[in-house]
Amino acid sequence: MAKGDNGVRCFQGLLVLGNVIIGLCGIALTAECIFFVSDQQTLYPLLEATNNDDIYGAAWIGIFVGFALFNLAVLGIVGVIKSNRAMLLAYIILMLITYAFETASCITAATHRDFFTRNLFLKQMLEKYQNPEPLNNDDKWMSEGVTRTWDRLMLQHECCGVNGPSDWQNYMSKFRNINSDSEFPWPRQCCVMNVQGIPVNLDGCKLGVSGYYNDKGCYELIAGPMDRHAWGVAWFGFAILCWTFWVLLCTMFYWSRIEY
Amino acid sequence: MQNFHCIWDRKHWDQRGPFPALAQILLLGQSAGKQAGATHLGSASSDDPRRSDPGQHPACCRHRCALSSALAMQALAVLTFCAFFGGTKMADFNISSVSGVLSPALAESLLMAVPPCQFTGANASIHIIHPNGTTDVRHFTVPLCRGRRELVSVVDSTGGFTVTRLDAYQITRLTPGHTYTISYSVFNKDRSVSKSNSIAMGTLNRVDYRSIPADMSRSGGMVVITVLLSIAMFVLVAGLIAMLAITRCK
Repeated sequence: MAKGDNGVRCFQGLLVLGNVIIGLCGIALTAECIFFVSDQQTLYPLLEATNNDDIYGAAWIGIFVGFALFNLAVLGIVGVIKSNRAMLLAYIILMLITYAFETASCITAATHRDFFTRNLFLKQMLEKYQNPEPLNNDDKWMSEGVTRTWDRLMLQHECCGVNGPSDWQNYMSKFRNINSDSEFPWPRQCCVMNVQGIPVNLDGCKLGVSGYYNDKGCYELIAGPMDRHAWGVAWFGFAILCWTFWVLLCTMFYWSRIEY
Repeated sequence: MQNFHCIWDRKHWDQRGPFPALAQILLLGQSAGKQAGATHLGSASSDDPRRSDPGQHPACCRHRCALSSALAMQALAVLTFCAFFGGTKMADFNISSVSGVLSPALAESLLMAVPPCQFTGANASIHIIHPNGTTDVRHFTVPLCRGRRELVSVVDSTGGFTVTRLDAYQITRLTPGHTYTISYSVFNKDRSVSKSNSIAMGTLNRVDYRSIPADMSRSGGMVVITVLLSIAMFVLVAGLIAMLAITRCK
C-alpha cells in the first residue's frame, strides 16, 4: 500500500481519530476511578469488613489503565502518521496488555456489584456494630470502622438499620448483647435529632412513636453510591474497550499493509 | 343496667361435669333487691335434674325438682349468654395494644394501652400470664386524662427541659417468641374491682444473624460483560497472530 494514496490518508485519519478518542476516554476513566477511590461517602469500611472491596481494586486498575490508554493513544497517533512498523507493533502489543487489564477490571466490578445485597450489609451490621468483643486487632479495626460508618450514616441521612428499626428487633446482634431491649430497642442514632444533636423526644423514640424515630432503612443510601461506582467502572470501561477493539483491529490491518 | 358477675363453682365443675355445676351457679346482681343472686341452689345432688328421676320422688320433692329444673334452665340460658359474649361482656372494660407505634410487640417488651379515662388516678395492676403458667403482677397508677390522650405528649417544655407523659404501659423483661396473656385490674374508690378482658400478645421472634443467607443477586450485566470481553480478547489475540503470520509469509 503506497503511503501517498488518498485512501491510505483517509484510513490514517480514521486511526488517528480513533486514538484521539481512546486518549480522551483514558483520561476520563482515570478521573472517574480517582473519584471512586477517594470514597466521598466514606463507605469503604463497610466493604472492607465484608471482604468485598474488589470494586475498589477494579477502580485502582482503572486509574492506571486510563493513564496507559492515554499514553498509548499518543504512541499510536505518532506511529500511524509516521507509518512506523516498530512503533505500531509496540503499540499493538502494549495495547493488548492494557486491554487485558481493563477487561479484568470491568469483569471484577460487574461481578462484585452483585454481592451488594441487603442481607450482606444486614449481617455485617448485626455482627460488627458496637461489637464489644472483637476476636483480634483486625476484627477490632473492622468493627470500629463499621460502627463509625453506621453512626455517621444514620445521623447524616436520618435513617435506621438496613431495612429499618425492625432489624434490631427481628435479629440477634452484638448490639443487643450489650444494650437492653427496653432502653435501646434500636440505637440512639435512629432517633429524630434536634439541631444540637439530641433526640427530640427520647421516650417517643424508644417506644417507636411516629415522628420521633427514623423509620426508613439506609440500604438505598449504601447501595446507591456503590452501584454507581461499580457500574461506572464496569460499563464505562466496557464502552472504551468496545471502541478500542475496532481501533486495534484496524491498526493491525494497517500494520500488515505497511510496506517495508 | 345491672352488671352480672358470673362465678363458676369450680369445685363442682371438676367433680361432676358441667350440668351439675350449672345448678350451682350463683347469680349476683348489682341491684340490692336481688340478694346474693337470689338463687342459691344448695346441694347439687338433690337439685340436679339430670341425676334425679322425677317419677320416683314424692310430691314435695317433685315440686322442688320442677323448681330446680326451671332455675337450672334459667342458669343455663344466662351461662350461654355469658359464654357467647365471652370475656368481652364479662369484663368491665376492654383493653388493647397500642396503635400509632412501629410495633406494639417488640422482642422483649409489649406495649399496652392504659385503662380508660374513667379510671384516672386509680391504683391498677396488670396481670401477665407467662407461657409456663406463672403470673406476674405489676402495679401502677392510671395516668391522668386531659383532653385527647396521646401516646407520648409533651407536658412541659420550659427552661430547656422537656417533660413527657406516657399513656401506655410497657411490659419489659419478656422473652422473645413467647405469647403472654395480659389483663388489667383497677381498684375503684368504692373498693370494687374492675377487670378488663384478657388479650394474648406475642413477642417478636429473634433470628440468629448467623442464619442470614449471604446471597447474591446475579445480574445479566455481569454475564454480558464477561462473555463479550472474553470473545473480544480472543479475537484480538487471534488477529495479532494472524497479522504476524501473514507478514512472515510475505
